[in-house]
Amino acid sequence: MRCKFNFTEISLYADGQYSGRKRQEIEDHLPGCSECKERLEKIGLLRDSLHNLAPIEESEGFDFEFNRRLKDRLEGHGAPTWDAGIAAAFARLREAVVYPVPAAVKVAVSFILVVAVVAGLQTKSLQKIPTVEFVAGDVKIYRPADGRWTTPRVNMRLKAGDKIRSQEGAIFNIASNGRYKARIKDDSLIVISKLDSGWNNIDTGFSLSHGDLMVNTTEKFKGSSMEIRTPSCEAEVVGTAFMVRVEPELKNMTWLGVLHGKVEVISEVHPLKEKDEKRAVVYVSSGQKTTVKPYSYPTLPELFSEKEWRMMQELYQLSQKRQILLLVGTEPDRIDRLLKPAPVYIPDMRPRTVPASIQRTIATIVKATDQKDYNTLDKSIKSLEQLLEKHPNPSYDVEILMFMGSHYHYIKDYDNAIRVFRQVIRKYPDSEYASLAQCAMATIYQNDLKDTNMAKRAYTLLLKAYPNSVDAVRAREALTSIR
Amino acid sequence: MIEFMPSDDILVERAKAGERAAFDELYQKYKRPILNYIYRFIGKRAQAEELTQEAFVRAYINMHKFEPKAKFSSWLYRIAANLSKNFLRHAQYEKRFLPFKQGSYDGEDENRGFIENIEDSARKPDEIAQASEAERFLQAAMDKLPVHLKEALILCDIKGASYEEAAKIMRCRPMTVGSRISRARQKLAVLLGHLKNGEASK
Repeated sequence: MRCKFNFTEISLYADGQYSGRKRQEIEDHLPGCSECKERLEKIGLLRDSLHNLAPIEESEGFDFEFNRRLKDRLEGHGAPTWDAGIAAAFARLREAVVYPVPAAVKVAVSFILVVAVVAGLQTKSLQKIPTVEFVAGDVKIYRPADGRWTTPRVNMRLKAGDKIRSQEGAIFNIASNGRYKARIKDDSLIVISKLDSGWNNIDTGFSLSHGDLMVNTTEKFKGSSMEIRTPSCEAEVVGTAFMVRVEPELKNMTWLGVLHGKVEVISEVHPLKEKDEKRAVVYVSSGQKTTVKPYSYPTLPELFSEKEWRMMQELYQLSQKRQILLLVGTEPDRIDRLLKPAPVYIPDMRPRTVPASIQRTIATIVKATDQKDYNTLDKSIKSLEQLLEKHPNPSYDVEILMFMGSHYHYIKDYDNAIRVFRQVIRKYPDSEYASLAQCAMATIYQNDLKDTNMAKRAYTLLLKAYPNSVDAVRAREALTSIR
Repeated sequence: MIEFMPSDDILVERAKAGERAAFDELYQKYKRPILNYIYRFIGKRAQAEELTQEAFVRAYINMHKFEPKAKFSSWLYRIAANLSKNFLRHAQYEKRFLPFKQGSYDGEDENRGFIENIEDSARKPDEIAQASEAERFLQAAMDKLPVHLKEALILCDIKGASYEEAAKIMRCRPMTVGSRISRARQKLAVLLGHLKNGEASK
């Protein structure tokens, strides 16, 4: 038997849409009709479970991303990209060719087309599109076209709109064919907001939501531009090395330090005023820093504190392409890590200039250290030294010397360790490891050879030669404890 | 505790006069409801965030076109609904006509049920763990509903709007809302029934 009420009527009844007679009719009908009772139950169940769906929250950086979008739209940044331009031209061309055209014109049109495509291909190959140079740790990239977070690959080309998120301890390097290098590290979120390249220049825009961004540009950067936007300011760059940090804990305050060159920092002082009135500009030159809070003036440029100098040291690393990485970090305790002994890491970088023999020997040393095989260690370190003399190369010399010194110390061959560290200071006094080598020598004199006088001299030298280095902290501590 | 909250009308008026802070207040008030609305509509989290941002960008740019006769929230929900519909239409088009796009095709896609599809939605693992099994079924079943039925269902049963409010957003008569909800519930009940049976027989 068909029931006299349909599903819609029961649904409307459940939502309280009926009153009076109709409502009474359904209420009288319900107890006697199992079908309608079941319907009502189902509707109630469904309504409850829909109502109880857990609401989601926006992810971090959501507001920032919204403001960026809005700003881009208001400033008309959504201009068609180069490829879109060609596509539009194509579309127009197709429309144009529909009309009957004299043959000669058609030929001319197709000729222009071919030229355009060829020229396009050439421009593409000459473009200085930034690529992923190095990834370590937990880094994820979000492409709007893919719609999800993926792990970036080395040599992957970056596009405008890419979002990159790195977690604590991670490093992510971007390189634009000799024009600049940028590094994002630790807990950071960045969006590539602009990426326009011409024949010989590249205009890049980064939006830093929070965390650290370092940039080092070269002479080739001339003619290119870079714009970095943070929640509180914009920085424009010409031929410089600098670092930007956004601290969400300090109300999105931006810290900006310049190692060399000059950076123009613009902040939005008043969001509601007209364009000319609302901006404040300061110029930060090398060795200086500024801080900007949202909607306030940037502080007048000041000189770095010692801690900040140390932070900026990492920028030197960024400018050199290292074939071997010494894993000691940049904190004052790096001396302890060096003498543990320190491992090295050979990144997957092309072209690789580290000879296979050296790589093999390093692998043997690492393995022998694990197995505490002192005989093999002794032999291998000595053969590594000979190999290094045979294949010297500034792109890995320092790291291998440091590695050797660290392992000589490990097998308690202190004389050789000191000799090797001294070599580092003599040959590469400007290297970021020179102060560490000096500190290692001093530490060996103090702890292993118990030669307080030599240790004192070595620490004093370190303070004199590298007063701003991270190892100077350790030297000061040690000198007070010796006295 | 009595909290002073300026009404939407006042904020809208100020925002229309170009006051960014007023718009920001509206944005803060509605960003989460709109995000959830779009998320339930399209079932994909990362895209839902983008569409939400886009909805507010459009609202800001078109603020001068907004007629104070209507409710600001209805207008905002309508923008969000249109964006979501466009997104779904586009996604459907891509699925139907561009199956090889982006090399995502791995031979198994065809056989993938809609349960697997929601797991792609850029949720973090812990979120997936948190979202209960039942919730995932529900969202997956909702993704299968026709757009106009889904819209009515989300507005009334999830957001808790009355037929009249939903009708203003959907630009139809309240009774149409009622019949759409009823059809949505009917379909959902069938889908969930199938799903449970299907799961049990696995």
